Amino acid sequence: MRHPGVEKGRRSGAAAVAWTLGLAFLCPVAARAEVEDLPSARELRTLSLEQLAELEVTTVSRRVERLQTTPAAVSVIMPEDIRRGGASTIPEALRMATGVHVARSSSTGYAISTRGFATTTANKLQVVMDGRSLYSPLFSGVFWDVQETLMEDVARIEVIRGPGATMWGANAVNGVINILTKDARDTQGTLVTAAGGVGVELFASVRHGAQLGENAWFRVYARGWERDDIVLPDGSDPDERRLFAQTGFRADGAPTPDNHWTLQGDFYNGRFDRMEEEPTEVSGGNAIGRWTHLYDDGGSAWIQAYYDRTERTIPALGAERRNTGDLEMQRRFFLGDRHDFLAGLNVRVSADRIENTPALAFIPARETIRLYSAFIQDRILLVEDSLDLTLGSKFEYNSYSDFEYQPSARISWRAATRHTVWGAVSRAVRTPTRIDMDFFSPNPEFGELQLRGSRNFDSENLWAYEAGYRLQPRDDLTLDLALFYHDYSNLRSREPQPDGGPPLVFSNELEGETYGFELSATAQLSEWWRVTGGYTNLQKRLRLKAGSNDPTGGAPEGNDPEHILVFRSSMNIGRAGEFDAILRHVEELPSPPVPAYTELDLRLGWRFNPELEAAIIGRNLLHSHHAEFGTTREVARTVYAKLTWNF
Amino acid sequence: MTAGLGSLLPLSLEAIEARETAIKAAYLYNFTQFVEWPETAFHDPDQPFIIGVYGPNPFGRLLDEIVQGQQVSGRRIETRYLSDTREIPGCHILFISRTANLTMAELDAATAARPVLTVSDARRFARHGGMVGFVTDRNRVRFEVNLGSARQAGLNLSSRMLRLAIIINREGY
Repeated sequence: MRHPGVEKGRRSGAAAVAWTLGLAFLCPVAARAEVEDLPSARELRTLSLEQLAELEVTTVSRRVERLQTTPAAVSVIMPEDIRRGGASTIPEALRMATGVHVARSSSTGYAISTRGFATTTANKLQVVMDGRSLYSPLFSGVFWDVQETLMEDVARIEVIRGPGATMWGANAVNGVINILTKDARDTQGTLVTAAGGVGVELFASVRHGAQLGENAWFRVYARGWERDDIVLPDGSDPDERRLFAQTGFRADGAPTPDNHWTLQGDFYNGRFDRMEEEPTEVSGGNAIGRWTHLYDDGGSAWIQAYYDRTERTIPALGAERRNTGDLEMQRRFFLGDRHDFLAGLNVRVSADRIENTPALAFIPARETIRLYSAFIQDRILLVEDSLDLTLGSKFEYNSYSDFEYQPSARISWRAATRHTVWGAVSRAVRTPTRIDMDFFSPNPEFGELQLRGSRNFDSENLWAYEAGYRLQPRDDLTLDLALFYHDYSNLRSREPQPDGGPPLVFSNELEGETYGFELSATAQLSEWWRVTGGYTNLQKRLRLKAGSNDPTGGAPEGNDPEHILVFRSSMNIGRAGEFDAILRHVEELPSPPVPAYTELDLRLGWRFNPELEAAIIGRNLLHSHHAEFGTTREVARTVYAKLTWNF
Repeated sequence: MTAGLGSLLPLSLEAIEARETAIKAAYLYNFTQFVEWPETAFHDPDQPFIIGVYGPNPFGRLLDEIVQGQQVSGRRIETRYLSDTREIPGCHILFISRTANLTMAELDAATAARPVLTVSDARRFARHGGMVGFVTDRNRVRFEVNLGSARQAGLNLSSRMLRLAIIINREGY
């Protein structure tokens, strides 16, 4: 039994203490406590200098300990994962999370989904960054090509597979991705990164953080890149270069220990070349303000407001301009010893203006969507340190649909010190969006309609039954298994006219089940070598309801692989070297068909000192190019060098 | 530090900071054993060894508990929590909190000619002239040592400590 803190060959007290420490760190924590058990003074006193130098501040087992009793299928991507995996964009970071299918379809298009229904307009995944919703009400999906931030300033990315907990409401049907950036206090000083190579033509970022008075901190950053990493299926270059620049700031303050405020904003601009067409232009920005108050009894309250603006112009296809305002508040409070309540209110208004073209149209071209929601959740401690039950529901009303309710019941049972079993039953809803209701292709003024939306479109429904098992058989090994059975109804289909001819109209005649499991494991094989593996299995049984004549059979709603396997290895070489690898295998996609592929990313890093780091990163090294989604573009091999200077 | 409220999960960054602080407290105790103070540091054999904390106290009671009943070279170890720079010369190890309102110049003035080991987790402390600066490197708490500053104060750091340190400014050694 090896423990990282023990020198080889040293027996006796030191080994026993370190082993005991490991156990002490893993002691069960009372459900209410937010601060973990710390090593006792007596234990700390016995550690040698050498042992102190080896103690990890955040350990995998510690993280797992915190997640141990969470009644949901969760993956967390930490800053070290991002750095060692060489992830320079959020989609690249998401590839490392078990259960997330990340597929590149074009130079700007991504199909990112959890538990199925992958399309470039994937609509069953809620994505949030620092409390700001990233999905567009246009099609209930995310424009991933403009969701950027300084990757070094990401505090963590939480991925919850399955109906995203009562808190996150509609469109969190298959999962939630929650991206959190670091508090300004943790990003002080100056950080400069520069990278260049093949595929990542040029990349540079600068960030500076400083103190703003006694209890306030801020940072500002600027980031820009030029990338060209997509090819045609025959390997030739479509010349789809992308240029992007973003700048932003974040300020945090704690005027008293119980109060905390945050102010942040970003602004971006980009131009994405298209083969034989005019380039796509994107720009946007946001501003977020948040106030948090902590109560003496451990409760908390926060209020947040944000404004978000996006503009996207795709010549010959259309343009969208959107302004969103959002106000949200949450309160956490305790009742007695056994009830941990969380309640919230949210109002969001999103106004768009769409420029229609002959190719496609949204009618009306201007619309304002209003969303009102409230939720309440109670985490009930049934048996101390062992069994707790979370009951809750979200209630929503939006301009497009009737009142929706989404109840959820989740139970977590700590069967033994290192074993947790959890189960959950939840209802989730995907409410109609502009594309379901107001979409026309082509523009009816310019040609015979082929496909259109309908104001009769209903919300899609899901009843999800999930269970999971987490264990940590040893200090250096963790296993996490999640099983799911999803029962869908009213999924989107395309119904022809009574005479069988065009146009196809969006309707809700698709239904069925998906089921499968996700397994992830992390092992510290030695002091300098850690490996992580993640396997996802998805079975889909979708069918059209009787009476449906959808000629597509529902295929456009999701093109999903049955298996995904991701294997990561991180090795420390000596004091300064790092060698990291990510091997992934994605099974074939049915329709449109994309063959199964296996790919490898490698990173060789060198830390000259705590301030200066260099790395050579190669992505998709096994083939010169490979397809991930769709048949018109493939992802090319890229190799680049990166320098990071932190001072 | 965020209170982890943006998170969907009970993960708390406060907990991570608490662990970092605990490791630093343990280091401070260890430094008493691996640094040699000159004779002039003590005016009589019964004088206790003082670890001072200047500025907001990040340790709570942890540092007190670690040193309780412990000795260095036959002397009792005591802790003091200071907010006045005039109390600094009485310390043998001085930990300056990251959020303390104290400039390097003020610190130099307060410790001038006194054998005080200055330790801090303020950014680039050792590079700015402090003797021992805590840094987080690859998820571990390590420390940078400015040998020149330590020597000037008449302090002798053991080779065992130096082997683990990131040494800034060897001048004079």
